[in-house]
Amino acid sequence: MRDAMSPGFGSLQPDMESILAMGQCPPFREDDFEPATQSEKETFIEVRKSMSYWQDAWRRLKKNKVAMVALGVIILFLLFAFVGPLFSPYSYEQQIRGAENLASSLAHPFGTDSLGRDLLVRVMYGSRISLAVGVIASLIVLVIGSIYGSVSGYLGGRVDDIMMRIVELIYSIPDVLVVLLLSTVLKVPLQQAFNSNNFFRFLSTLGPGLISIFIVFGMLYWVGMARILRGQILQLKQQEYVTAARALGANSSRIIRRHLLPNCIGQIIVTTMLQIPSAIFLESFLSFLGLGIAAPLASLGSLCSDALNGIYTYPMRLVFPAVILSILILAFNLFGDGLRDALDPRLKK
Amino acid sequence: MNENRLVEIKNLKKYFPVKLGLLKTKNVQAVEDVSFYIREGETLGLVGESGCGKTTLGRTLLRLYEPTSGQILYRGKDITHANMLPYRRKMQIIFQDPSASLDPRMTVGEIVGEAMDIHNLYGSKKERQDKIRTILEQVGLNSEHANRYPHEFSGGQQQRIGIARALAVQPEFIVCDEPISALDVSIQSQIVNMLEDMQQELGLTYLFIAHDLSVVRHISSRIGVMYLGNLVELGESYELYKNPLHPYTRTLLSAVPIPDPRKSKEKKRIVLEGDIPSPINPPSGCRFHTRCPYAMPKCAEETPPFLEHQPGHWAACHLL
Repeated sequence: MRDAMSPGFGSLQPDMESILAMGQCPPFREDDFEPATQSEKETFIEVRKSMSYWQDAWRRLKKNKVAMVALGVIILFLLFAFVGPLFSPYSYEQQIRGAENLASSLAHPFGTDSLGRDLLVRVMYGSRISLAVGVIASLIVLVIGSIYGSVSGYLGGRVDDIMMRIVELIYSIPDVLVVLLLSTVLKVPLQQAFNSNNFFRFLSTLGPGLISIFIVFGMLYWVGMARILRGQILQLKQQEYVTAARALGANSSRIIRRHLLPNCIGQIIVTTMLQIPSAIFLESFLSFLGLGIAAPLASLGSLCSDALNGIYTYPMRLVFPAVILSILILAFNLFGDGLRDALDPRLKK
Repeated sequence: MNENRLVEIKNLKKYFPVKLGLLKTKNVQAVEDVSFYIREGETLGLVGESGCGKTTLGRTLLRLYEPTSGQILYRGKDITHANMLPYRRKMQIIFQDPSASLDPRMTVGEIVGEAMDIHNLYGSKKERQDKIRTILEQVGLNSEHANRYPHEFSGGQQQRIGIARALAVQPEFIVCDEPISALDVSIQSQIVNMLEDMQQELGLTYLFIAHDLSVVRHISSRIGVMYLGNLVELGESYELYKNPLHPYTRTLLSAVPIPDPRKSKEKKRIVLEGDIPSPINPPSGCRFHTRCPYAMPKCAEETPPFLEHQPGHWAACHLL
């Protein structure tokens, strides 16, 4: 009972002192109740900064620590692979007499191989090749897959049925087998082409192995992208803004270019991004088998393969390229995941 | 009377195929044998329950869906199989869901400008900018809004953008597909008033699709009532409200709430039994006979013809 009487919590009684204090308030003035003028009203209007899709995505991506670390690692690797060789006194094919099979030292941080080539610079060049292969192969996938998928999804019906059966057919072809066969089969005709034509001569530095990898990506690997894009387009073409564009008289190509593809740009970028590590991995795997890059060029895979020859005596030769390859693939995968979350927040679990 | 028919449809049908099994295909009879015309400068209201084919009718009329059979005439010309591009400039549509009808990846300026791009309606970039600004101001938006994205706007503003896009090609005829159903009541009246002002200023003709009877009554000069793909009654707005002929129209009108409790108590509400039948398996004869309080044996057998019972007042019912 006493608790209820005392002022404070739970009491509905107004505090006596505050009532008395109210009398001491200055009385209202005439202009206290004037309606706000236009300029006064405008000070209350807060215009939010217009945020484009990319700014918004970047803001979300910045919050994702794992993705940002992965992005940092990727940038470091790019510097390592493309700027790094400039600071090295050696070139990747330079054989230093009397410096064969060195262990790590100040002059050769990663040591040298059995021919006296500096391993650090070879790893740098190897990363460069691996990154380039990953990016180029993904771009091939991007172009073919997105065109095929968007046409199939947009046209729908029987055309879509037939196009998707083709995709399923290609899915069922064992890709590694095709690369192995192609690089063997293409060896002779490509060699002939290299000798006949200036343009092809430029390609000859890559070797038949690498070219057959690109051909295989162009032939087989776009199907994943095509499927993802078809699904997206099937969904998006039902949207009312597509109907609105048709009502305005837009033709199919305009609708695909201006409305459908921009609305799945997130998916496209993410799929391309996740294609890079798988391309790097495939190239390394084939180079490891001796089918990829042609010597004296090196890729991370061929460096691993070379290291196998002296694995018991010089294990470090395997460790450097293998670790770099693993970190590179991991970084691309993590960044791709982060990018997906940032570009398409709905997909996040 | 005949010469100022802007849009006319004759026996328009639209069926959608539905796959029921591996080989079985049936049709959803979304629009079944509808004929009417719209006079230049008038507003034809189209009402009916959800799923009765109003939207399909509106879109088929613009050839956004290809009609299964029937004819569409624009200024007396048959456009059922014509190349639509020149007519896209004349006939436009405003959608129900303003946010879904605007491409989220385009700025408002791009959305409004796209229509002009397609039809080459400007000479220079500056002219394009000016036109976009004029149209945005016409629908009550700010010209600075052109650089913003649709998601930054409220529902009412988004609908204004949709209207601006439709107006960008200077159309003569606009299908308003439930343009206010997704909006707040306070915004609804703003949009309706704006549509009316536009009609006055630009001499537009509307097909106004809605399920809100009071709004349709306010804006329309004539009203058509649809039930399960059929047009059951069509008449002058005032006449139709005063003297509904078809039992379904009576039922609909009895459902309109009256903002006066005393009058509302007196009013008798006709409540229909059962659900609206599936348009895949529509009832035989008169499609309304399964729910009609006055149904006769004849109704299940014969489809009632759509006849002019009073001058300018059509209905399809065996009772009349």
